[in-house]
Amino acid sequence: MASFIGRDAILTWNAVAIAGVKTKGLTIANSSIDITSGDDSGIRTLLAEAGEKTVDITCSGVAVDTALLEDAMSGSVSAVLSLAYPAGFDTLATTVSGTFFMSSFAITGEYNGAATFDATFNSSGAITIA
Amino acid sequence: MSALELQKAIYSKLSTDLTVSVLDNVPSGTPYPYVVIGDDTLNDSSTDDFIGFQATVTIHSWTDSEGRKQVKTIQQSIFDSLNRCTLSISGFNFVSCTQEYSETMLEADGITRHGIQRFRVLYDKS
Repeated sequence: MASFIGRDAILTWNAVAIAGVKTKGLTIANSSIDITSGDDSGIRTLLAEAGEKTVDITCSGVAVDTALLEDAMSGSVSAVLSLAYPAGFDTLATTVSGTFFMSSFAITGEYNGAATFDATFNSSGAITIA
Repeated sequence: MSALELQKAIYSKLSTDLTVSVLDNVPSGTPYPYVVIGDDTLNDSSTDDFIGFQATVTIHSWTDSEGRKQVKTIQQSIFDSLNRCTLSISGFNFVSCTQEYSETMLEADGITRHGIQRFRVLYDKS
């Protein structure tokens, strides 16, 4: 177990590494189920399982190709996304993968700077961690 | 070396486009007017999969002509050469070159005119 540099975590969409990424993030959300009743003396009590588990992955960087733009536009918005963390983060390399829905894609360019992009992916179905 | 390759590219572009001398080191006694490629600053602009730089480079114009006409004429030709140009930086992909500012000043001797322009250059390497 050790820290690692962000660029060593590789984000792959449809089996191809997303190019130009500077920042990537993974958020897991578990929605709680409140089962507080009159028996709980006013203390909140939650069911010990998530009502809904969601995994959202975001990435942003410098736009260097049109792969995501074309997928976002053409309708190929659902594909296998994987985020591979390097060995060192855990004893073995760890990969989070599953089917994700590309819920947003944006590309922005200022007149005197490199064009940048950002994308958001929402999990759909089971996500594996291996 | 990324900063040196950038300087070579700017030197090549300016010495092709300008009618005055373009120098790095200025030998003693060099007659005015001339242009000097000054110091640069490189900031990291990398991504996961390539190395990128955001550089600022200062270009100096020197004349001893009366008034500001000559120094401003030289500065205009530097602007025309570099602003939104395409640089060939050996071993790198060129992205953009933009002038950030330009100014002129009279040196302490009361004769020498000094023009300063700063350009921002983006380039990267896969």
